[in-house]
Amino acid sequence: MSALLDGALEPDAAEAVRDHIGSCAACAAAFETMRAADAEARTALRGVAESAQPSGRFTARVLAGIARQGRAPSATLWRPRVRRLALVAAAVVIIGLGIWTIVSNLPGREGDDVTVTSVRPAPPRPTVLVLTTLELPSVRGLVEELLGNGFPEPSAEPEEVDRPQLNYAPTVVPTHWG
Amino acid sequence: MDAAAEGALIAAARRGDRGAFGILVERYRDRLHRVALGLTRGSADAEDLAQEAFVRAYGGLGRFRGDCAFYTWLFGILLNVYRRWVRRRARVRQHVVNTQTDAPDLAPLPNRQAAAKDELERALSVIDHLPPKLREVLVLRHLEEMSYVEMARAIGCRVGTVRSRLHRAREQLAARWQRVRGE
Repeated sequence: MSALLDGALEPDAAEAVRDHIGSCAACAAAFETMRAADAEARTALRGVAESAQPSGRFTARVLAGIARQGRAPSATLWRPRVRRLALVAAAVVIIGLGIWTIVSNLPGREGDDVTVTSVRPAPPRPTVLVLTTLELPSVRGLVEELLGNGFPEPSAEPEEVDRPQLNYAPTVVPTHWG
Repeated sequence: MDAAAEGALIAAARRGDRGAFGILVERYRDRLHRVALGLTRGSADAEDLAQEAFVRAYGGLGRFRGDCAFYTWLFGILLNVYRRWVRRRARVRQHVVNTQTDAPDLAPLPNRQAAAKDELERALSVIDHLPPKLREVLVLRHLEEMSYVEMARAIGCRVGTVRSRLHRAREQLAARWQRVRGE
């Protein structure tokens, strides 16, 4: 109904609303009340708007305010954008550091055996994978997804792995994979 | 003044030409002042608000991208200044819309009869109860006859939000108007 008052409805929609108002007494009364209240508000607002004129020194005061500010207009569009980008980049770095700190400080048991289940051919740029514990489900899930095969459930006794036979004693085993 | 002349003035002002900006102020001060009066119910602060909007506009000229009319952009700044004013007044517990001292003296208006004055006062008291966001759209619509798209650009919201706020403003006006009439 409000959009109808403003003439902001598409012709079909306006026609449909008018049809409904014409056939529904409750909506007709509501529309009439809204129209009357709105008309009165418009008259009142215009009355207030005409109640005073800007003073003769309006422009001079604006220019004096600008002079007091002593600042030239910001000349370029990119400053706010750069500021926004810098804020986003800073937020990403802070969040990344936070996650890294939390993950790297998760409790692990020293001396845990590490089971390496697969070794892949050395890639052009070898990468060292360091495994500290297999007990963190999220880390295990991620490693499993990366390696494309599953890890055995950690147990007190490392299980025998048929292929390849690489049950090592060391805590950390460098593995080349791609 | 055509769009090209206005664009030249804006460009000059952006380079620091205050005289050029003064011409823009002269061009739009009455409209901004009218809207400020409508927003503040004719408060004496209206002129200060309009002036502050221009001062802020000068400082932010570099951010005017020209994707809307210059006056629409100016009204957006005025609305920000107005919202700050509302918050500032709320903090000192002097609600802008209910303070009698802010009401304009309507008597000097020519040929205004007592009954008409009462009617106007009653209508203003109805508007006074609108929250600032609903009052903004009503004022822009009735004083500037802005389209929904222009209002959305000035306010910095979606067209659907403007439509919804106008509808809520009118619903609240109608409800209070009925109550006042029934008294």
